[in-house]
Amino acid sequence: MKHKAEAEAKVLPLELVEKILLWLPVKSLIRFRCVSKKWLSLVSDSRFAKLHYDTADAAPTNKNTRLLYLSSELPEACCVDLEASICGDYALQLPLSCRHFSLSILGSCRGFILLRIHVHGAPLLLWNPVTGSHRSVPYPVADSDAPYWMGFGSSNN
Amino acid sequence: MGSPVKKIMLCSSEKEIFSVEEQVMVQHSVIINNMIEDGSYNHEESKIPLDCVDSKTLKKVIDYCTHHTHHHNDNQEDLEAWDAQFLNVDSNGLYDLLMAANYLEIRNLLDLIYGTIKNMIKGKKIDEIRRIFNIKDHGFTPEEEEQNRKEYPHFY
Repeated sequence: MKHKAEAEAKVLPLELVEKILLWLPVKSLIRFRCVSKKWLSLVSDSRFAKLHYDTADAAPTNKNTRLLYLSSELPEACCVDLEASICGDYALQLPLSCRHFSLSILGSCRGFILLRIHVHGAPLLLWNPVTGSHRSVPYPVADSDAPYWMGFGSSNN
Repeated sequence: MGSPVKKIMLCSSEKEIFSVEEQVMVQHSVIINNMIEDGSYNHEESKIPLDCVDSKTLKKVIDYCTHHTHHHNDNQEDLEAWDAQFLNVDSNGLYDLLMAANYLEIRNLLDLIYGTIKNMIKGKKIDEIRRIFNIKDHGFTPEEEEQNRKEYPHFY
């Protein structure tokens, strides 16, 4: 009976929606966060992010190299898909707290971007462009102008 | 020469019986493979009831599995052309196929459908996505919805 009722309404169960969304490029996922509350929490979930990263890694069509750069004019980051058409670039909203400061990208790992805000005393920002979420990361050394080197270690999460 | 082709019976939601080569379904459907392997299917009297799959959809699913069993050596282009023709159905038909493939766990058909839906929705606007997925209640408050529309007008 339950199946019949669902079929009449033709609303896809969320677990199947998730399987479809796993196939989509980040650009679409960013937009689809506005489809519904359910889709928003699905896409924002860290479990989904990990699954999506692994799926994208396995699917050759999604494996395109992307170039992310910051514009000095606009408070947003630009993303260019290097293997897509010339019009394939799009803008990503930067975290609100750093939109109006001078920024630089220090590095990236598994889709996360490490941003440096050029304001004395400001922390580093680890930003997830897919979900828009971000968190502060303390400087490894007390003096933010002191020279330092960065690397990413591997961890399961 | 070999023994006669073994058949199994599938029963649609309309109680219509479909007789299919066992090998065809075992190769494609995880669920049916498990039923045959663990002995829960009795060839003399069992029918596999598929209460949530209607006859029209079941016939398509059997067509898919049969074609992919007997033509798996065809060249990739021919198979892709056949698949494209196979999935040339309306959105209701696609929905029914997806539910059936999910129920029967037919992985290559699922991947084919996911890929098709992905291409269908990739560049679509929010309003179109809501229509395609039949989302009547998006769950945002009017304020949140207005805020989203204001912040990302090009999404809608």
